[in-house]
Amino acid sequence: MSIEYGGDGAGGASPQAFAFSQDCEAGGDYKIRAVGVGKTFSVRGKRGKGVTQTEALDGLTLSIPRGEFHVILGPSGCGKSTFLDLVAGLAKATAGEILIDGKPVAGPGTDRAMVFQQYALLPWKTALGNVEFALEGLERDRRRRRETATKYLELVGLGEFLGHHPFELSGGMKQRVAIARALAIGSDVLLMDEPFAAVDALTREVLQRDLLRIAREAGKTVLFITHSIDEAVFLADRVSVMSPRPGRIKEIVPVPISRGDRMRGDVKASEPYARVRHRLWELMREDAAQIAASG
Amino acid sequence: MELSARIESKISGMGALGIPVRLGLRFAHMFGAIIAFLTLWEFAPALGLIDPVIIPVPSVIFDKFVELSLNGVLLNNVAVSMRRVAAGFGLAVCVALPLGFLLGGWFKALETAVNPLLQLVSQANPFTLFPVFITLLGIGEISKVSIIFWVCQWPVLFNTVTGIRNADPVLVKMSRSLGMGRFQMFYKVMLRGALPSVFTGIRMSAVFAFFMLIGAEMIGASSGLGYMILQAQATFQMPRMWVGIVTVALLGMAVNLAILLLERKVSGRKEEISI
Ligand SMILES: Nc1ncnc2c1ncn2[C@@H]1O[C@H](COP(=O)(O)OP(=O)(O)O)[C@@H](O)[C@H]1O
Ligand SMILES: [Mg+2]
Repeated sequence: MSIEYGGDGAGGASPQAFAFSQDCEAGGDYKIRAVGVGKTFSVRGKRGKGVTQTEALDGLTLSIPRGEFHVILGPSGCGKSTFLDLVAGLAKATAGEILIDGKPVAGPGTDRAMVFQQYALLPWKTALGNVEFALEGLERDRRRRRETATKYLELVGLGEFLGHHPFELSGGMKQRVAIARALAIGSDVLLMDEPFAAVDALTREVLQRDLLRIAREAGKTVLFITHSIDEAVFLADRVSVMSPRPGRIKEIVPVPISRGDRMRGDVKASEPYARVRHRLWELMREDAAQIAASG
Repeated sequence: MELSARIESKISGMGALGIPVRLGLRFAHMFGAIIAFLTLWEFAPALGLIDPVIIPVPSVIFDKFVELSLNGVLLNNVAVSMRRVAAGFGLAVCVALPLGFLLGGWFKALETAVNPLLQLVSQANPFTLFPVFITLLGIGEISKVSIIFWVCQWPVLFNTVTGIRNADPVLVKMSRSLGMGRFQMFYKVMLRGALPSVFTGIRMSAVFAFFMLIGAEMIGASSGLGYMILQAQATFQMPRMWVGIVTVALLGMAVNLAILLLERKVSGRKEEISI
């Protein structure tokens, strides 16, 4: 069995994983589209004079079908967060456009929910309060807000920690609160910026499994950013590898492992896993060599 | 059988005794140092360490304290002084708090522009300004309240601005991603996040308020605790003077405690820092 990476990727190891790439070719049901997106930061010099231009993204094009778990993999500083901020509507692209359900992104909105690496929990609120906070603009009834927040905290396994403040929770638990908050918003799209980079390896593995299960059950379209190859292979239906600055999509690598197979303990020892992992490693190494040569 | 019953009763007897013993230990832990200090002070004259005429012993001060409390002298002076503190300090908080919110949150460019000026003005030693205030406003209540106000506003203003400026950018980003408006975010995230810093400023101000109160009352006043202390010294009524000194210290502690309790009520539970 041979798989052409970067191409159409017709391997047939898993019909579920490949359904997405076929949809793409058909020009079908895209949840998120980025068309020729560029972002240039203009930073004014120290004494108010002179403008430094940083080209963070250039000509980034990407289409993500509904329900896909899409991972963007790239070295740090290549513009991953910048791209996610554009999708979230927190910043404006300087070129191209981003479409959600075919409509251009005009600003932030609750049709997308974000999860940040630094948890972004209000330290003065409890776990429950933090999730309720996100619902304030969505649900007028206090009691309903409480019900929804409780439901999602139970879903992420924090049913017994509703009244705990962030400082009383471990890193993994804090990120669970942040995930519960993102889920409670009820958006179709989850945007996650290296959410597990700050938690320890064992906790990370548990969180990854739970996220995969929850995202699938809820039918979310997930755009997940990481610089970890292993995380990308384990989570993604497809992985977009980004090139260093100015960031663009260098190659899209499908992961031919069914979602059922991922839950098995030995998935990381399986042949497709190792193959995709190696391919991603090759792509990343090229960039590392390039960065080393230029820097 | 009989033996075990006896042991049982002994243990339960100890359990009943245990609570007062534990409370006593806690009391000793909290106030032990103060009690030891007062005891040493009380017996210091007998050991020839201090002159009881200049520094009367605690029991004498306490007797005087009771006497002045009962005849109303102390209460009158406390009332006068507290009115001045409340006016100056209250006014400072009412002005500096909203001003700090505006400068920190809304008019950042203006804040950057006026900050050096404010720093400079606030650095003027307030005692050097007494003559200015007296020249401008006379030696009545207004000048006393004004100088307390002047000194108290700076810590509140600077700490409020700092608190808002140091709002966690990730929290701001998170609120924005929820589609929250500018005003709501300012109110629900930035102001709330600035509270600890704001309260630090308010507590500093309270300390300064008492400094300036006593200064003002010693320079030109016919009532108040500062006046009472100075007057007692001039007429060599040492116990009376010490009653004044102790009362000022106790009032300062009480105000600080009240602000701490208010902060705890407003901020809720807090992370305990242990080093
Ligand atoms: N607000 C900004 N102003 C100027 N430059 C920025 C800003 N944000 C990001 N950059 C630059 O854009 C590049 C990409 O940053 P980022 O998207 O954070 O990378 P990544 O998330 O992949 O590590 C970096 O070189 C960074 O210095
Ligand atoms: Mg980043």
